[in-house]
Amino acid sequence: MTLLSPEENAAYWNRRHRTEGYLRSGGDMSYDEGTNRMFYILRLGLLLDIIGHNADPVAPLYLLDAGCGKGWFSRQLAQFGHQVDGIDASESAIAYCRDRGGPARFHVSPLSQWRSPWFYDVVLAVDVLFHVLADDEWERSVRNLASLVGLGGRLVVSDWGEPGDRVYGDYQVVRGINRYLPLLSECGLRSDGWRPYAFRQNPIGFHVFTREH
Amino acid sequence: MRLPEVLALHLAGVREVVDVSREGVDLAARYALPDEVSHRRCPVTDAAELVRTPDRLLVGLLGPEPAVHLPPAEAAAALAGASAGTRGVLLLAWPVDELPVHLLVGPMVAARCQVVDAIPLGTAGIRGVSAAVVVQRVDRPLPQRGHLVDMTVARRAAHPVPEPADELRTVLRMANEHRLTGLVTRAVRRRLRELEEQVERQRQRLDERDARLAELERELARRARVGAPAEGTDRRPGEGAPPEPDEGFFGSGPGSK
Repeated sequence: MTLLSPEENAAYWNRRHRTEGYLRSGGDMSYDEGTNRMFYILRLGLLLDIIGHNADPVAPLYLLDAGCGKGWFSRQLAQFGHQVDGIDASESAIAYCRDRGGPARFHVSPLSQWRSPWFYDVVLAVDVLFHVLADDEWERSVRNLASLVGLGGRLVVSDWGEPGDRVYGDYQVVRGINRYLPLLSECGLRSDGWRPYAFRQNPIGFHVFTREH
Repeated sequence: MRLPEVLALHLAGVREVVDVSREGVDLAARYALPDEVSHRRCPVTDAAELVRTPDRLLVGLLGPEPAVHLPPAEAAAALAGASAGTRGVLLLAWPVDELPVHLLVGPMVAARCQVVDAIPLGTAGIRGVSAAVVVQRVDRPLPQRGHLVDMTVARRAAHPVPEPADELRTVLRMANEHRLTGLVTRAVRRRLRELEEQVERQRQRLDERDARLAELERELARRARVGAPAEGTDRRPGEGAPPEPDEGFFGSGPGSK
């Protein structure tokens, strides 16, 4: 099966965010909205364990939700007291985020092009990198997201935990652990393991990396 | 975070907490130390003889009031002669956004101490304590842990920070982040000052307008009591005040005789 071109992929996501429900549009299209809600909450729990259970309004954590979609994770994390930037290449998704409001800040940006004068404590890319279909754009995205993590900070990216790549349909390419580890080691990040979602038959999980230099 | 949580993170291998806080500052009840860790008070000037190895943890309250708080230089000096790995938990009584970092950094470097944790304690409720800084005597730089990440004993045990594979790269990272973040911080500080000045000017304008409004209200009230038109108030046509006399009506203008 031929993968979508970058233009087709962008159009697909803009249309999906415009037409599908709040959770389903950025979630799993094979599940209904209620099942997607469980899926979102489960992933949020895993993220809490990775990010930690501490927040403080005086000296908050700064988080980047890269590929935020309609902003569910951004809003939840901001409600914990963290300062959150949400970015997504989909203009319709970001328009939704801004209309909905809330304490997070939202910006239209591809993952490979977000720039910041500040490092983040945690950079997340939840279920988005396997939708970056072109390998070169995927690598640029991973490198850019890694570069935004400050010393001691964490990069959390969703993908499967197997070696090797695999294509699902025309808009999903999961990349193997053998791709992530050497790339991120080169970027100065140490692997702290892979945590599977363990949600029904979903093979995806969170790769966790920490910047050590 | 709470103070007992901070202390608990740094009690592994510690048998005694040496509290060098000023006389009259008694925080022992706030530490919630386990039974196997004893607590001893000691003047800061005597602490260097006592706190020499990692089995003793130095704790003290630092801040702006000399009668109540220790100066950072004295607390740092108490650790200078200790062996590598010896730690101090310094409670800070300055507001975090006004922290006199310059008073802390120099003495810690001079004492060959690295800041391993800097933790806001907004809910500590202790004598204005806003943060805790944990310092460790070192002979080489230690790897960094993320801010507020892994802040329980169990999580730190589950996620130990390994020795960096390439120490030079770690030090370069520290130096480069420091230099470039410093550049950005200068611009942000300038912008913050501008905004503070704008806010102050707006506040003054509002104060002036409030004062003028109060003055006008008093004048209106006075006029209402005596039935006279208020001075300086706007008149609408046909409303309120009597018409101005035409020129010459009482004899002084061109139409008068």
